[in-house]
Amino acid sequence: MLIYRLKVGVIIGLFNKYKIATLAEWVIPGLIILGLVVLWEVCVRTMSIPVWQLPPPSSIIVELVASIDLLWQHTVVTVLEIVIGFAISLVVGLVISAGIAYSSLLQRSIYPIVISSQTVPIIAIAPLLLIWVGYGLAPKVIIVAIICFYPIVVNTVDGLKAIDPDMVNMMRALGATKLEVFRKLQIPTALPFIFSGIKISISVSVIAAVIGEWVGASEGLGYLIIYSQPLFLTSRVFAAILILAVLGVSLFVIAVLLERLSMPWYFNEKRASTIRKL
Amino acid sequence: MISEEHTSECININALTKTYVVNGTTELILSDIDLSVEERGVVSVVGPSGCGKSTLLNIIAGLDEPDSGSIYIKGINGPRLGKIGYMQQKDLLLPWRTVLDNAALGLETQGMSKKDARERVLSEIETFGLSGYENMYPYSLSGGMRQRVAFLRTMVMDQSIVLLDEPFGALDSLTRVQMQRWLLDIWEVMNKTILLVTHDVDEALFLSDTICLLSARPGANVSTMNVDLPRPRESHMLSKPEFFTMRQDVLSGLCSYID
Repeated sequence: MLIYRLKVGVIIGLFNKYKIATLAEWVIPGLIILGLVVLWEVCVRTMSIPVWQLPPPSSIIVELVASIDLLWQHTVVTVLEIVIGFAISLVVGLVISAGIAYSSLLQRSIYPIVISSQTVPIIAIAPLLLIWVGYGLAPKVIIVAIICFYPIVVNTVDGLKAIDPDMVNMMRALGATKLEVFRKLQIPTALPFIFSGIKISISVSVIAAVIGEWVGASEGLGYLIIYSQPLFLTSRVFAAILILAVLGVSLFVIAVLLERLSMPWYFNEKRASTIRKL
Repeated sequence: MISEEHTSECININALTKTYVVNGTTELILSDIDLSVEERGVVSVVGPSGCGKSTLLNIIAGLDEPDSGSIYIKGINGPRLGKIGYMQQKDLLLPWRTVLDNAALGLETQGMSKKDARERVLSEIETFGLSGYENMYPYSLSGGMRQRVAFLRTMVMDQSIVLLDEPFGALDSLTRVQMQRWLLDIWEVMNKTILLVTHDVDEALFLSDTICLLSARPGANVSTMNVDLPRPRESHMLSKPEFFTMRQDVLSGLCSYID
């Protein structure tokens, strides 16, 4: 009995130490998801829905294993489109945000264009991109970049403007130059905002790549979906969708991990203030 | 008439006037202020809230310019930004920097390398009662400790003049008394001239050589009085009869201009 208690104590201690899975945080949500999958399987089987209409989870898994090479080949293409498009968007977005935050001229001229980039339906531009830049990787990368651009710029501009004027005065009184104020005050202040933008845009980047592939492509998961659907390879469509979902979640998790690593003070501060409120 | 060539005068302000435009109307904030602080002196500016005390310090620090009047720092009427230590009311610590790096900020902006700046701060950290806290972030510190870090950031720079804007205003009364004594200890060791803004009469009397009273808006000189208490100041002086006489003088000076 004592040994059992000790073991439980050690396990709970480990959980607390690494702040990983606690029962309520991970195990129960996992069971709920599993339950929904089982429900899906049972419904499809008892109602004898044909596989081409709605495949049960088991046949999606079977398809996933059987066509893993094919799926992998298309996954690589889609990931490439997302990563390149997102990277371009991030670099250009950060530079333009700094410009907008610093110059009211740029704010008046560039900002409306950034906002309209979000309101113009991307489906309407996508075919034009095919005419302009061809059929390959480029149009998809551009679509991903356009979609990611808006959340990054809007959040970064807000972040760069969120500085406390008293802090600016403090730094000026210390003899700081404008560049030092930017580097040592504005960028760290904007960092949580920038990561909010990144998390939003990385989530929608997957949709952007699929849209790009639907309009015209010869490879990629979006292409695979569009190509498999008329052939009634519904299990393959679902397998591709599953990979896209996992891809989206993984990219988001990477963004969150980077966020935590680069701003430990931010999360500790939030935790500390919550504890104080309690 | 105050002589501008007087060598022992560190800060010399003549006929300083400042107005702000608020909602389209011009409001006079500081009117015809004269003030002088001698080298290694401690001068307090005391006045009711809204008398423009903080504006005065902002102008002396170089964050703002007066409409008219002159400011001589060690006999020079030139740019002041970055040449005068200025500690504002709030501690204004950067949440992403540790105690060590927060205190080193001013040295960094003066062109010192990060490594040298840290070493310089470490050599003073004991004096400021912060040893053991070097690598902590501001959120985990108490108000008094945060204020010490802000102090260290200001004092570690080799500026001989330091402006303090209600440095202990946000602290509880016990911590405030401790910090006042501690400030005097620091002042004895470091070769600094201090101009202090406060609305705490006891604090002004305990710390300073001279007290300048300002009237309510617009802030204008009311009177200047010398504090005839010996140095080093001890807390038992706060209960001496001459202390109470001076306290009464300051308070009546203040009250006559509030009514």
